[in-house]
Amino acid sequence: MTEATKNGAAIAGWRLPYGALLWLLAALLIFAVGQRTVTLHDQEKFIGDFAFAVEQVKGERRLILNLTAGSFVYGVTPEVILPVPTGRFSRGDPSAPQVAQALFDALNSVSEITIAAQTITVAYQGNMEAEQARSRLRRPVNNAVANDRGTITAQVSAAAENTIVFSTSDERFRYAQYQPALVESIEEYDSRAAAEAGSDLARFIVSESRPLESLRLEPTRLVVGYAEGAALEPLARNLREILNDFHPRASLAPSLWLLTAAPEIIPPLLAIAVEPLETGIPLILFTLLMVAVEAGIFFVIPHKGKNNLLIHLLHIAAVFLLFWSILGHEPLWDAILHAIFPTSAQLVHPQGTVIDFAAQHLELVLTSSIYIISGGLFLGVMVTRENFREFLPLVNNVVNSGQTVPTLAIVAIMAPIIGLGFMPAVVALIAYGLLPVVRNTIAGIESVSVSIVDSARGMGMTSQQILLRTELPIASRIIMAGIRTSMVINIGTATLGAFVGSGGLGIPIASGLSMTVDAFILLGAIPAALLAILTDYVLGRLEVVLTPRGLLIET
Amino acid sequence: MIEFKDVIKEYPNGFRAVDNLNLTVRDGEICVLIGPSGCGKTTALRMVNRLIDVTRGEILINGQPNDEFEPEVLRRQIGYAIQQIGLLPHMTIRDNVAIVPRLLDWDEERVRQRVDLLLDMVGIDPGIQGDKYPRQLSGGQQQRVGVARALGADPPIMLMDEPFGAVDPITRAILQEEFLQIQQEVGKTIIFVTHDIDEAIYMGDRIALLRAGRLVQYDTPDDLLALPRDDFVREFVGTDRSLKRLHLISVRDSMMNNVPCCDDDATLQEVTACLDRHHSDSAFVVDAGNGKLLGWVERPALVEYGSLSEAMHHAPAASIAVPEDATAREALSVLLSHSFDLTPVIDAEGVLTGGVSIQRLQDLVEEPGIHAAMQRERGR
Repeated sequence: MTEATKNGAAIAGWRLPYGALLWLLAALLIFAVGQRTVTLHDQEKFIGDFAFAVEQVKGERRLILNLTAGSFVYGVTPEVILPVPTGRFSRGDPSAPQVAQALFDALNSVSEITIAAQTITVAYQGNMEAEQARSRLRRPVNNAVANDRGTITAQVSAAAENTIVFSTSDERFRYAQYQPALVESIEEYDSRAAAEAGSDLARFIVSESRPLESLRLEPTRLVVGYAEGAALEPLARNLREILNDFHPRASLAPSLWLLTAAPEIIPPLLAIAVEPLETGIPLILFTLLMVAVEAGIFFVIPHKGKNNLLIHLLHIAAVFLLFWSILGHEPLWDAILHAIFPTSAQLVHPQGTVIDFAAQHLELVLTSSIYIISGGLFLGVMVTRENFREFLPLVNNVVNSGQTVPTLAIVAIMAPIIGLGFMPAVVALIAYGLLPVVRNTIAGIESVSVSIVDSARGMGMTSQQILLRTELPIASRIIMAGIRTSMVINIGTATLGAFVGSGGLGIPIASGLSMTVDAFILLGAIPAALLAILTDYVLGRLEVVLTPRGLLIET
Repeated sequence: MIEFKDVIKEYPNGFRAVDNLNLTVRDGEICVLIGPSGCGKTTALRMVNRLIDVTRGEILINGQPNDEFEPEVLRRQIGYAIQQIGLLPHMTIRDNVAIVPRLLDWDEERVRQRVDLLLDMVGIDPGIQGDKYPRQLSGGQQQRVGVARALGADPPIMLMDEPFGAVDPITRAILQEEFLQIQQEVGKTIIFVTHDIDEAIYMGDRIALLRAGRLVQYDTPDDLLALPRDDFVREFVGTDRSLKRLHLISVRDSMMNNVPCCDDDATLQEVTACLDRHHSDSAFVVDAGNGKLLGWVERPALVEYGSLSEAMHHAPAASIAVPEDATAREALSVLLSHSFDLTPVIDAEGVLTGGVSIQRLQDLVEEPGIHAAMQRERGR
């Protein structure tokens, strides 16, 4: 719905609670989609991949299936690596010990199955102190690992309320250092062959610890022992068949995601840091709330007050959160991409979630836009001042050339000067995005008729008053259009930042191209396109709000 | 009082837009600057509030050189209205009119009262139109707002650069008339630029005719028309300058009070005596009770019918008479369209008060200067 039709309807006196109806529609859609539960298909993200990780450990008649690519590196040096067809196993599935059990039951030749736990998440009852829970758990953990070979570092942290996480690998430990707030203490346990102890530990904890409500294992390796003389290849194929039945499933109902953004001084640039924040509130509740809010606005606030800035900002924020929450729901992306690429093994990018990429992308766009808007306005205003008018052609040429040089080239030129990462991408985006803002600022100010400026001067306004009270308000619409163009282009251009490691939605696109995984390309392209459309909508609304009412009246 | 003293405006390329201008505008007078395009009239106007700087010479405002003020301070004390109006499209009508008072930091209540007063004065309803935006008004209404805005902070001096130039002739005539009424109330010292000689004659107390930056003639409208200084002035004011002069004279000033007339109940003898007394063959007939003009009677008809009631021609007063406050030019027009020697003049009630004859009008335009004196007496 455009502003024009809205105004038209309002003028004709024929009014419908459009806002409430649209949100109701959104609520119905989210409800309908949320009823569905889908099977998740991405191997890297949701399911361990053991395709290249079958090892035959010499003399022990065991197959070791590494469930993630990463864990393979930490595994025992393989003596034999067998080519095995791609198989899947759910990582993070609550029933991991049962998977082991299922394998054990199904395969005659299997004599032993052990799951190596990487992370054990223990939830405890709400009325228990964290310290108490940890001490209660220490004994079974110590017991479980006491007679093992080697040493593991088990790290205890409060990741979420009433939860203790034990990590048994260095990788997890490193992650914890980045989020020191989450780590309460790090305790060391002497342990030998800690990897094999995972499932025993899990069983033991479940049986011994009263306060436990749930237990989750994130296995990195399945160690399958097999009988002497058994053929390896059929065994591996059988394993795959069984494991395939353990695809994780997820509901398509998204929850509400918020956004925390704060300006952050990164010398010498001012940058905006953006963090996505999952609330756990179902999105449908939010949409229903918006139906109520819209209806309230429609019936309570008189028509004249509806062009109020606050109401527009509310609409903008609500639409943004809806979009943001959809971006944040990973199973949805898995389902969409699986529908488009049913045979693709990789659907959701291993390096991060869509919302992480989107947040980095916003960070790039918002940071560069601060400079584009402030710098563009400043330049545009300066060169239209009487004293600096001679710089107008120069500035025009510079900003024009900024846009003619290919962005990739700017990125490439910046990389050796500034280095890789966030900043060169920001600088390239600034160089590229300055033109529409500068040009429209100049055009907007020049569009103010000479007679208006003359009468303002004649009434005794100072040059500053003429700029602030006359030129800028009258030019605001054209200036806003320039900002809108610049930011929408910026979102597309920011995907190129991935080539210098700036992060953002360019990462799935770049890796999709280099790894020829089409799903990744769409994973970057679809959210980037949506983000561009959303930005266009948001700035379009802002344009209407910020344009003085007198200028919206057609003659 | 505004005085131009040997004012020269010379551009870097040597072009002199204003060349040695000496001019004094008296308090409460409208001084019209007129001349062909490029004659420097707008330049002269804009030098008063320092939108253009004077090259040499000085402009005194109430005896004080205008370059002793900060330009912005000076401009806030001088009303400024231009042809393109220049209303700020993003502000309401009220806010537009309030610009200068707000620049002068008036308190909001005083601003509000002033705006209401001014909008009323120029015929814009502050309640209905005040919160509209300039684009929602017609051209004529915008011009009115432009004038109200120029009057914003009650400046003693106003500069008006073709302020009624952008509207159709009928609206312009209305605006001119209304503005003169306002001027009667407020008595501003006004410099008014136009290229329309009719407007200059109608609006101006004095007209300064400029040519190529030089002042050619500075006179009252009547003197300018009656005694053009040279061929340029004569050509500029036009060959119909006598008609234009008639435009300056009102019927009240040009009519004769003693005209042949008789009551509608007069006897034949009384009517004949009246005709004889005036050496006329026709007389106006008025109502015996209230003196309102009813028609006229001619001597042959009287002879033929023998009674006034049968002989007289009845006619609505409005179709044969001119009102007292019309111009002599209108009276001439009525004279030309009826075959009367004498056009009857009536007051607002329709009572016959006198008559205008073609001879009388001729006498008036032949005697220069008298009517200007009359006008001044009337305090226009």
